[in-house]
Amino acid sequence: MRSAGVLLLVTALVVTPRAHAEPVDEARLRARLSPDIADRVLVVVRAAADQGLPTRGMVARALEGQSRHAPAAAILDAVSRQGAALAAARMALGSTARDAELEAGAAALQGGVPEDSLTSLRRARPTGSLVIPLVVLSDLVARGVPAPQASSTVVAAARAGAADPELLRMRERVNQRIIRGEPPPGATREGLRELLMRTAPDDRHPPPASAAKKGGQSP
Amino acid sequence: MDDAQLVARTRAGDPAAFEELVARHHAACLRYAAHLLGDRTEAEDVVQETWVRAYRSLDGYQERSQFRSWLFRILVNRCRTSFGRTRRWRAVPSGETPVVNDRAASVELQSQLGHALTGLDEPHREAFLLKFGEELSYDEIAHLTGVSVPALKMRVKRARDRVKEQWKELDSDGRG
Amino acid sequence: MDEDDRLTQQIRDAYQRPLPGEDVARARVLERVRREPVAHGSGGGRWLRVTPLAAAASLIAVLALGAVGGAAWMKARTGARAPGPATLGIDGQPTAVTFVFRAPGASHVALVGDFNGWDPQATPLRRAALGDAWTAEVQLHSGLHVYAFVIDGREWIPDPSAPLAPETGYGRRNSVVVVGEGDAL
Repeated sequence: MRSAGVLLLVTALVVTPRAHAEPVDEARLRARLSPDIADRVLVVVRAAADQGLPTRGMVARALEGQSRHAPAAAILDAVSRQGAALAAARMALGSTARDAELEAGAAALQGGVPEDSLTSLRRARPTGSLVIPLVVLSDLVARGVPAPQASSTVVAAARAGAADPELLRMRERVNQRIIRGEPPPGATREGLRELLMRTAPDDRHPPPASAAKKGGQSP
Repeated sequence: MDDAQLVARTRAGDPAAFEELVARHHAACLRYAAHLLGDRTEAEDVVQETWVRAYRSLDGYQERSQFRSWLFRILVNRCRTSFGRTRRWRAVPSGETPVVNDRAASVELQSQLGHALTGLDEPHREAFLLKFGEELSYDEIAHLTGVSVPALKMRVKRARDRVKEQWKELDSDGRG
Repeated sequence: MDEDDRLTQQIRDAYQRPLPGEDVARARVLERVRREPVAHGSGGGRWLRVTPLAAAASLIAVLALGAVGGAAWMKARTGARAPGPATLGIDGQPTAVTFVFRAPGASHVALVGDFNGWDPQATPLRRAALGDAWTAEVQLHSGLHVYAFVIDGREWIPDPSAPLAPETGYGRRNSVVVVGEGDAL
């Protein structure tokens, strides 16, 4: 992700600003940010747009920073990191990933999830949306579950064919355990165990061929 | 205004009438589903689905039957579908009360009753909750479930004995 | 009453004890049913009209929720439960999403998020007629939306019942709502 971030920034610096950012977004940024910061943010946003990445979230990060009265450097950093994360998410999830999947993947990466976890998730659920699994993954990490364990949990659940409602229920159950004082790793282990016990064959996404050979067993 | 009148008003296009039906019967639906499924989150999903189906099929409600019975028929079927979809069973010797191998006491339903129900399979749990919890007659339960009255009486008896045994144990453990 | 009867009564009492949060679950049911096409009465269209009684009932349902911090109504679950992309995302039509937040003692609650430029003036929540619940309805397109609540213009709080978004450089947590994505139930 760091190399993708450097690549994105370098590209942004050498590219002459062109009017590729959405006009509405540009107007909003200029209305809310100082001219200097707006210019610099727009350079990064346009570079991402030129690469076909969804820029809505990048603009939102800039506006959020302005609302929170963040320093200019922090705003630019947040926007750049979002762009870099989107690029890395696309490398990990594949070029056919939809915008919502890229945004969810970028969030997971920014939360500390390694890129190969996104790739594993895509392999575990080769068809069907990854938005909810990625949102659940980010949430677990944000609540203190170590990123490797959170990744392996969601990948295992996806590999077992758990549907999105089951993943969301698992998230809620884990969250309830954590609120009740259980350590996040243990709460997550229990949450996965309960999900795997409850996921029946007719609830499943078609498992990938490798999982079918293994009988869909959890790690 | 009784339930049949509220249904009639709903059919005539009054959404407040349907909301009153929900206000009257939602709590009973949720407690049944939560105790049957052992999972509060799943129960809320099933109950919501039940009300949506009830709303869509109100034209099929006949005023000679109790609305609550008609609603519970939908609920019992939704619960059966959800229960069957998300549990695994182990084979048990015939003659024993079948045991669920899913540790159904969930994070949400950490009540003494929730624990006491843990040892029952779905048919026994269903019969027990409809008879003891909802206090329906055997004829009503037979109509809802499609199970004969003699079979229901057997299930209720076995379930009741098991639940009481568990309840007493939990009492002596100081839980609940 | 012999012991057997006593036990039976105890079990029955335990069963019939009200479940906590039933009122919130009931409010969600009403919200869901309101999105159904009008199946009854004359005319077509959607059942979006909320009677004052129903609105008050919904909000009172939220009010009665026990005080475990703020309580909010996360639409991610509902979004995942909604009809899939074929009906929500692909035709580009936005979905009405209700945000509810319980803020005891607050004078002003605002919703900020990707959908309103994080502007604390853009989407004030309305206080319920009774108690501490605040609500706002926003039209959201399908996808991910990051958001938070601002209490009295100074305290920014994520939604306690929603998935968390990762920290993105401002040292604060936000929440995520997902609309029109994922599998339908």
